[in-house]
Amino acid sequence: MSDSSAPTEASAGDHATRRRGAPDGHADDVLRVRDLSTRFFTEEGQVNAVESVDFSVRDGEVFGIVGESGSGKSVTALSLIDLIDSPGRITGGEVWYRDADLADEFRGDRPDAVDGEFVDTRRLPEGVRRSLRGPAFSTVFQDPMSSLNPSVTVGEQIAEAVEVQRRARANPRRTRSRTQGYGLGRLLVDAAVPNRSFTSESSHARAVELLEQVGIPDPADRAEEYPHQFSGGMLQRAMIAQALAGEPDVLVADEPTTALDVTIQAQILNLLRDLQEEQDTSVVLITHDLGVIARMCNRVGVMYAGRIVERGTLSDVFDDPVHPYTRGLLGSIPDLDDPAPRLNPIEGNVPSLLDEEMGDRCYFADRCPKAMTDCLQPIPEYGVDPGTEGHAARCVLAEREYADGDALPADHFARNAGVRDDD
Amino acid sequence: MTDADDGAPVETVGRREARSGGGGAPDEPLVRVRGLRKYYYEDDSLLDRLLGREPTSVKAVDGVDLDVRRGETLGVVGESGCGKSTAGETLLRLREATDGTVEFDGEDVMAMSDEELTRFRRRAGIVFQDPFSSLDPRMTVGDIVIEGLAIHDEPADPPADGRSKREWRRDRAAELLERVGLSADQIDRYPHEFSGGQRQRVGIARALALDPEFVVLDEPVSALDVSVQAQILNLLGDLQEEFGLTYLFIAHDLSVVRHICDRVAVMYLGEIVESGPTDAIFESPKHPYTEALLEAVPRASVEEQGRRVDALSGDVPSPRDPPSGCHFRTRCPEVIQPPTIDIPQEQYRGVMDLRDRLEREGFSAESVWETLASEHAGDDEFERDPVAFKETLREEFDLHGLTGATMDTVEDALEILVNGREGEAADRLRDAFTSPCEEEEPILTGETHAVSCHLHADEDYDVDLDPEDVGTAMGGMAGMPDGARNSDEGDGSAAPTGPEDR
Repeated sequence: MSDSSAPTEASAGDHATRRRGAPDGHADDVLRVRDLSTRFFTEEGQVNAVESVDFSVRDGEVFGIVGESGSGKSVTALSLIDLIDSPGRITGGEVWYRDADLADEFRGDRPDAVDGEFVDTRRLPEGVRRSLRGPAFSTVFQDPMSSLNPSVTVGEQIAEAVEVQRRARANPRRTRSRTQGYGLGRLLVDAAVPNRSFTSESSHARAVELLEQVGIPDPADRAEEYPHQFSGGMLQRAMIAQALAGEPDVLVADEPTTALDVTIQAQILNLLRDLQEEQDTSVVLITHDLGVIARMCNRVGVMYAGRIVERGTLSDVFDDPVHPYTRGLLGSIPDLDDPAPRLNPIEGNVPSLLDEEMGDRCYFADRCPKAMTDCLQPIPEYGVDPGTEGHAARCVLAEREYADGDALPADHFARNAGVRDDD
Repeated sequence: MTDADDGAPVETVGRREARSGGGGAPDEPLVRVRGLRKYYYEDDSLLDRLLGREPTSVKAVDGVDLDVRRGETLGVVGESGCGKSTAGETLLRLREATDGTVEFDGEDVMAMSDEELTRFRRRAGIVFQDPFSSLDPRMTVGDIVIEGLAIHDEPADPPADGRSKREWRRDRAAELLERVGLSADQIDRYPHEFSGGQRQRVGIARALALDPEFVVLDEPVSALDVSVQAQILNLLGDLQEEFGLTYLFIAHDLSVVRHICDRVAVMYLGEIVESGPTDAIFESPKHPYTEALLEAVPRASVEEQGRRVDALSGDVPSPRDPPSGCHFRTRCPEVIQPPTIDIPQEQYRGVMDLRDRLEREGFSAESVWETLASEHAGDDEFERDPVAFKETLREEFDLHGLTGATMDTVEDALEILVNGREGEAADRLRDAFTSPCEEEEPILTGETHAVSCHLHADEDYDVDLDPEDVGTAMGGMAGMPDGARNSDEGDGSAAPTGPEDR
């Protein structure tokens, strides 16, 4: 995209050195995610939902994460804003966020959490991390119907978000929401004094303004309505209004248009783009739809089985893909303007993410048409073609040509799977 | 588990392969639907009747005509709530139609007795959208596939090779599972042990068990990931070729429809707005709604980056109270102006939007005041300023730049609105701006490529369509019998898509 200080061919070799600090990356980065891993500890075993994910997001850009269901893209989003619930846990990695004030504040106490203007949100105290939700990060979730409270008016819910930000600004460590610590005492007091509302009038006015900003007609009337009175597209607009309440630097949009029809999707994508350009927000856009990625994103990461298998600019990934998974994904979608008689699907199914079944190899090897013996060892991220800055892939094909002689026997995995079944 | 092993046709399944075209004249459509309606009624309980309340109807399907020809794939595409799934289920009589006729191979499906209906069910199957909720979690996949065979007492006579009927059915289920890309030793597993794509394969095996001629595919791939979706689409294509199946393919994904369908019908609010050969619909769409749909689809290519789509405004209106005349007029960017008006189209659209909000959506002047007030929150001096009020509306509805008599009427209406008389403002606008689109319902007209739109009411159809091109394009499609292909060349002898109005 632009010339920069750190070419990515370094990313394979410098893997170890890079771990120590926010360091390499682009001057405009606002967020740098390094080696992030999230695991779920379930009854069936440990699920490696996100494994050693690296990416960075620049000022005012849209960074896309694309992958199929179960690839770990949504868990990545939740990990960014530290919303992983038990039985899940972020088990490692760093999320460096650029905030000069916070960096100054913690330089003395927590030198390991500060690097230049960046702070590692994972090493900040819980309260501070909480206070970042809203003004620093905020999220638009996939399903607006289930993400809003059905028994509270839409206006009230947005006003609540505004109110929390307002109180947090007055006292940065105070970010209690209305429901936090809600118990019998509060219930009784609220019942006895019905007008003790959480939100103030000015928060409500701001909520109406936000609704208007996201293109909801008659915002003052609509603010008084409940979520079920909204259509899907309108609800998604309301969700976006709520996310904008804290004027975030980074907006994480997790499948924001998946539940919507194409004509409504087009409206919401236009809206997201307008807001992003107006407010110069950075957006992390997570979707399974390559078309949405193509329309919206500057740079893209492709996820498979918890890992980013390829990343780069839109044209790197779409026009010069290296990883056979990226190629397969692009070959699987029917082309609207130029239909081919037959699609080229990726054979097989998405792998299990159970730790014990994963092994130390390229996770795509069992479906890969170009699997070689080299693929049976752990694959680092290689920079692709030193000329293309920022284009990287977790695939040996980035380093060497495919050779028939090294190809894995076609039944390699079937044989192994058979052995396991017999056990 | 892949499509690579598609080669060998399973013996039993393939036995009726030669059937295609059997029974009935070959150029007769296999399924002929005329005027299909399905209304649901609200406020229709006993109490409502005692209180004398009129039931409100929800017009899910409102007069649909379809011809599905032998061996073809007819796509029905539209947004959620347009009635496409209801249409598919109603024409199989899984739901009772409110009105209309469905002929299957010359027989009237709606008039069938129970016995005839059972026979019909053998010949027409369905694959449901959601592979997670359409399979009984307490049955093994083998039992799921066998169930239909058992109900229809297939085979009628014990097999000659000494197997019991039960064994025969089990063998047949195993064959079917292999044919759809699963392995026969998975027959005793339960649905939860399979992934979404594999479950959808089970659903397809179930639909094929009775060796049907016609299968309704209700969004069969929309719950699947793209890589798996491509596997299932290829499988469906192969099965169609092998068994001479006729598909009614219901979908919202236009790329998938373009890929798999021979002809397409586009639905909006319970009606078909455009139908024709796939290439004609996708390359020269006529209805503004089809154009908008195609425009809105995000393409997976670098050229897509930053493309701004002129998105349709607003939401789909409620089917409880569809707009008069053309259902699409409330969102149509090309809504026709009355002969007395000649203003830029955006401004006419703006005026119509304002009218629509006043008439249909309970727009209130009070709401505008409140919004204005909220912008001045904390400002105690805020007073109701009619100039700001009107300016807000002019901004919102793109009413700047009007001149002459048109401007006077609009300004008049705004003045009335400032005084809080919404009904009167709506009347004023209606008197001056009534569009032909709202007065008369358009009819689906045209031979092969039919459209239901006043813009095309007087056009000579299919002149822009080179018959040679369409013929070649369709010839490349799999499983397309000659009869169907010829009829696409617009030679006039073909079964029309919109018959009522020739």
